[in-house]
Amino acid sequence: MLSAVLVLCTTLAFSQVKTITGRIIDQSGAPVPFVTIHVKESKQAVSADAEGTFAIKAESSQTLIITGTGFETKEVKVGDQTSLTIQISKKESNLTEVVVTALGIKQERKALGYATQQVSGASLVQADANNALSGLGGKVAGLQISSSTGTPGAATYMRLRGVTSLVAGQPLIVVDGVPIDNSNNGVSLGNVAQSNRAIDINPDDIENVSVIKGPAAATMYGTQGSDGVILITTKRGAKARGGNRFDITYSANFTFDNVNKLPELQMKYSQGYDGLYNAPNSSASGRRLTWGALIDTLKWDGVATEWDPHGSIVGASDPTGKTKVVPYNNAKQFFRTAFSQTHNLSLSGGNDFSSYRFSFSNLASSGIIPVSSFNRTTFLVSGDTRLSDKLKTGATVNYIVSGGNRVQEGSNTSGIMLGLMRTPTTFDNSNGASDPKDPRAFLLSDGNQRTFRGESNRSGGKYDNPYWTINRNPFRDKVQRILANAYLSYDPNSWLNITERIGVDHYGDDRFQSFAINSNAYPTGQIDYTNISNTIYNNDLLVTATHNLTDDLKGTLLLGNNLYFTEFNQNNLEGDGYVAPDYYSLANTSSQLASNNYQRTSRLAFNAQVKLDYKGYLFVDGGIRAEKSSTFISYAVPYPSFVYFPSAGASFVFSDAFNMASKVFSYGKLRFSYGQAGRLPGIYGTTNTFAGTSVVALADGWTSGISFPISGQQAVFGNGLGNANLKPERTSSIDVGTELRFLDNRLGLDVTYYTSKSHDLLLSVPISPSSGYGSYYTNGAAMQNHGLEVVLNATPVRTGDFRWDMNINWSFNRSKITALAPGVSTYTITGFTGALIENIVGQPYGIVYGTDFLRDSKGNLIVSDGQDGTPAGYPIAGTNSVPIGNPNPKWIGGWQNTFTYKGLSVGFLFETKQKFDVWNGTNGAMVYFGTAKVTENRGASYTFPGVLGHADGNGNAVVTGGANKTPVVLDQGWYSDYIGNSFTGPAAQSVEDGSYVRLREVSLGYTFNTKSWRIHNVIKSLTVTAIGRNLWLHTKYSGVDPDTGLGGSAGLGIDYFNNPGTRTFGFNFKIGL
Amino acid sequence: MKTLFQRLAGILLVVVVLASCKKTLFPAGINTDPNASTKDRLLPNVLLPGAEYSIAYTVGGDVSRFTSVFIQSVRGAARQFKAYDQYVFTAQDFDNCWSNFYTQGLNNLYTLKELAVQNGYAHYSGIAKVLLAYEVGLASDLWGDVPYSEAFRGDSSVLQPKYDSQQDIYDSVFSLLSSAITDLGAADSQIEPGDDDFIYGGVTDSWIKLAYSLEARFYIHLSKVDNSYADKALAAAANGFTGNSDNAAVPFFDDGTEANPWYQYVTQRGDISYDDGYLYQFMSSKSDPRLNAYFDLAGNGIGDAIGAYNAPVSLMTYSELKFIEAEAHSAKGDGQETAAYNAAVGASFDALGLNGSTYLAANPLTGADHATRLQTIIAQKYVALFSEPEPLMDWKRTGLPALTATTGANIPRRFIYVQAELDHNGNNVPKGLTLFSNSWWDK
Repeated sequence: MLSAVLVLCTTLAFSQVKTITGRIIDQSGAPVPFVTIHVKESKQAVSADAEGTFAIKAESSQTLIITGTGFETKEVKVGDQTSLTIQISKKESNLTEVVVTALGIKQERKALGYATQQVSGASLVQADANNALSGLGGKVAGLQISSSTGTPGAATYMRLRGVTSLVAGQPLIVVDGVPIDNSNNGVSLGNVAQSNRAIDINPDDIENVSVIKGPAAATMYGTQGSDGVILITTKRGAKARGGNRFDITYSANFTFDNVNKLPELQMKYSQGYDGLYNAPNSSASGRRLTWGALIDTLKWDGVATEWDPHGSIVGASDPTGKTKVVPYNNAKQFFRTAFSQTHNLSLSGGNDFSSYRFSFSNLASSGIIPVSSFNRTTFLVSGDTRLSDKLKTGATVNYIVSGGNRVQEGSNTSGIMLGLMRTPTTFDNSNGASDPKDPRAFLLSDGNQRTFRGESNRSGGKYDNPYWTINRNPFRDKVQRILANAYLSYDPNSWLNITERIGVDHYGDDRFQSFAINSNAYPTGQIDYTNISNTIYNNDLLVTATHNLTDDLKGTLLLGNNLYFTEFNQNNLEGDGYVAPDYYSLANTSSQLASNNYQRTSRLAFNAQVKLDYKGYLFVDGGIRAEKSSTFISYAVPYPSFVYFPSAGASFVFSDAFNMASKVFSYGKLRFSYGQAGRLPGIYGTTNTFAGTSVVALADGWTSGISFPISGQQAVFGNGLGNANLKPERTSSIDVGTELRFLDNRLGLDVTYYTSKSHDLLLSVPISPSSGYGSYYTNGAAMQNHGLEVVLNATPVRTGDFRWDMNINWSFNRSKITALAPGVSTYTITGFTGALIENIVGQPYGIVYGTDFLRDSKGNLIVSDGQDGTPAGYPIAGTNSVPIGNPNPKWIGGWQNTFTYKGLSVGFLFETKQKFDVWNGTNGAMVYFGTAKVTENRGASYTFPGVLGHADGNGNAVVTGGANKTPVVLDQGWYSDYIGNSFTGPAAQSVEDGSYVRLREVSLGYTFNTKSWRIHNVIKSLTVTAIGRNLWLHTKYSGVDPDTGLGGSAGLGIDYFNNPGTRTFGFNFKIGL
Repeated sequence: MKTLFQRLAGILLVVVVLASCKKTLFPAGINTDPNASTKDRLLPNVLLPGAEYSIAYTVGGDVSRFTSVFIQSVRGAARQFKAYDQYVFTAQDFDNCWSNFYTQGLNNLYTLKELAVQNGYAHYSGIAKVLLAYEVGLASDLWGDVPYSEAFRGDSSVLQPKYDSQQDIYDSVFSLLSSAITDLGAADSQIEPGDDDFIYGGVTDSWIKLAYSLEARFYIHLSKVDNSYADKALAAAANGFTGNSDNAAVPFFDDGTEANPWYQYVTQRGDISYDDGYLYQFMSSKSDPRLNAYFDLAGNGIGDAIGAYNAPVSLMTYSELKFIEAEAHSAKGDGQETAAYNAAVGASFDALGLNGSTYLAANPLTGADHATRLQTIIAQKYVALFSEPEPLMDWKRTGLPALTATTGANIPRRFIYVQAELDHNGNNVPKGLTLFSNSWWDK
């Protein structure tokens, strides 16, 4: 609760007295803040500051005593020294956990009225997570980490205690006190898997991550805090270890990735229709499907063609048939084992007054899809120096270059999985080529594309051969980013601290995409250049004053000012129609389109907070945040006014208050907090506009459409309606919890219950299109969340050199949309016609909404009696959309174990998400096309369980009989031609439970005792670790790894030809020099 | 140190105070979207192209595909269109179509009309009214009762417009057209349409002819409900198109982003077939020379007349007008129907660069009574107007050609009300209607 304050109790002056400055560190060399240093012979005492540094007056003959909760007391003779580095040892299970809280303020954990959880940097990188956020998965109660897809650089999404907004916001990420951008620019249902920008942070530079859960704790971030805050502290320099002028650490990872799970394909039936084989180069429309002949009845004629080196396929009785047809496994052939490597080099050092750290890292990863890659290079320099005993300053500069080759995915005719999973098993996409770059796989001699649906330019509806996509439809991106900050911390006297911190986050993201001539989506070819630049400037001025009101009561007043500016610009250049082939330049296109999007915002905020500390066991705080933002400005409101967010909290360490600590019961605390936080309206949301300068396009959901200008003429259409009277979204939450420790701190339990209510949620209310406009922007919606988080820490075994540490975290969150806007009952987040991710009043956040089979009021399937003209014995398609799945897990959890014995360390982390639905549209389409494994039972007889009935004229169910007893045939007629698939039939049949348990991380490491080595003066330490990620996955989900999401952080629950997930194993070497 | 601190504190104070000042932090215009325009800054020449292309892309796209499947000019062969072929439609399937009508074409036209009327741009006003009449009339022909009198007023807080009865819509359509004819006959104003008008390049005489021709179309729709429909249609037609050069169509171009909607559908989706459709079978039974223009006989596509990348989307043709005249004359029994019929069929061939005389000789208009003659007239109109929504309207009025449902007993007559309207304007959406329901003029 002290924020960098030196407390001088007495100032007795003796002639021999000198000022001693020093630094307290722990065994690992990390600074230990806030411990008390007092002179044994006098009453003089000081506290170390947040960085563990102190200054005290003492005589040479005197002794300093260092005491800190959770540390062994240490005595040090002053002697001749004037500058000291004092190492102290932790007691088992350190209680004086110091956590980084809002605005970078370090506080003792026991004073906090809200739940927070820490993850060390070492834990993030222990199993080589390339994305710092994915390294958090399974480690924090209440934090749901989700992957988008398994391609390199693909985004990782966070949800902390659910979401508090209609289109899921994610927690704010703050690095060294400066908010950074974590956008997932360009995310879409059918493009490439883009990165979330926090991927630019090198996980190896992270000292620790502090997860500030829920708005009660995040009030100080006002309109950025409602989804919680992830505070990242980067490593700082420290005085080198014994004998070194500086320390060098080098580590390297070498890992291999494989596909961990794919949808199952049927291998029994050929390309074709109605049980007949249709060749890829035939004109039969049945060639698009895999409802052909039993492969056992087919032969190759041995005359090689461009379509198949084994020859054309003929019936077994055809005399030209030579060899039996053997099905191809296109998926197995396509994916590869990917190799990645990471190198980290860091150098740090310093003296008693200054320290510095430099780090360089390079990640070069390749993906399981040939040519896919993601690379990241980072340079980070940081330094801190004490200019005087009152003034301290420091700065950090982090330069990052990242990007790679991305591949098309999802709902996109160039999507890798879409083309791959629809390919009949009698067609070899690779055409026998083993090199994925070999053009014979995807190119015909006449220059047309080789796909299983033939080459005719007018046959339509083709999918790009995956080999075509990786070779001819490239997507590259390159991000260059600077994260920089500098601070000045001044202590004019013992009770006052003034800290000024300025930071900037700027990046430029250059993207290139091309579709070659004869690509399906753009038969004449297309090239796109996108340049994004984004800048955040943040300035914080913090004044902290501390005063001992009485002997028992200490008060702290915190005042803060924040200035925050953002600037975003995106330029798009599109060239259409390549003139010459194999020349991928704008200059080679027959027409060009250009557009841009510029956005600028500014924000001013003040924070005030009062904290009271009674006897070190009762803590009470209250605060308020006032904020004004440019996004409220409209014609009606020329200048924004302040909006306010209050907070209050209390922490009671009852074990200290009542001296309850014993051998069995070590520590007990109750906490409570209340707070509000919010979210700003989107930019330019206050005005009605007609789109003009960006590309105006027309489409209809089937085709890519047309774009203006056409023949030099531009066009505009009305945008969604604005609203001049916007308010911020507001989330109020209450967080109550307890922390208990037992058995000499070997067992710790932390339980939190929270509830939050969000209102004035902003939405573009879809309105009746006949109003002339598609939507209007307003504060209308409300939702609530509540949940429980349990964290259990234990050291079940601690004998001699052997130690077993365990951490279990378990949490659930329940959300409910309580209101949308007048007249609005559903609100679409993302998705496809027929299977949308939707907010519906009375339902949890973001459920799957689509059509189902007709059911009676009890939910029984209606099996057609034939009276409405539908085929008797089969289910009937319902016409209206209903909630059909809930993608929010019932609960999530992680179980982390670490075993150490001397130099040996074994760690594993199990992670689970239970009972969440995924719409497996991949399978739905594969059933339609006849490639799904389930269609292997074609021809089987089946009695649909349900009651007989039909649909009336309004589409409502009419029950006419009892249970259905008539068996029908499951054949192409049902699966493909009729509604037995979610591609053309009801979406509900593809909703599956995605529940999984996975071995998310494994590490097996050995630290060599280099002290005995002759080269110890060169190699100070050496650790070799075998690592694995996702080595084991248990799920009933029939598609790819269910930890997948196509529509961005808000649209979890959709699997439509998502690229598959991976399992990783490899090695890590870490050397200290 | 004091001085350093004082200097730093001074600078900080200045920064905070300056930055907190309204004008530095929140300069005028910071929240004004530089990427978009506002209604008060619009000019007619950015509203009209959007409206024309929205009409063309929607009418030549969803409307053409759905109505062609209804009347079996094409069949749905795969994926979603396989379901449509079996009349499995959900309310969501028509969302794009409705929203393109109302938020793009009609809203732009309404905005253009208001702007033009306010500023005295008479010719823009006339064009806006002709196209408004065309599109809202078509919306009503497709759905029945639709919003018009309260529509397009979202920016005046009318978010749930009422549905006007089809009869009221038709009143509005005729009044828009007659007012348009007046406007188009007015003197030039300050701002005149030109290259921004892709249909007629701003030529007002052509627009006047289209207005009269559309009157004729909408009057003939009333054959079941208005006894004077034939006289009214003929009176209007007299001032309508005089040749194929008057045809109203929106052009498409040789480019990846300016390509015809059928072309895009066939190349990107292609889930339709033609050889099992009524149209193909009817035409091949007569060895119709237009087959090659209509269908891509080598593949499963649509022919170049309709589905080339640069094929125009037709709003109304001279041929249609002549068929309307033929029907009206036949109904009156004034003996002038054959001339009109011959002109209609001939114009259809002419437009494709073909000579129709041999075909006409083999397929003359015969019959002693109107009902008999009507069969030939409508059958030939059905062929001539392939890909346009009019054949559906004709089938609804006349039951011609005699089609058999692909499944069940009924053939769809209308689009169902869309999910977005059910969700957001549910109280106003007429209840109890299905794909097979009748409307006011479609008794």
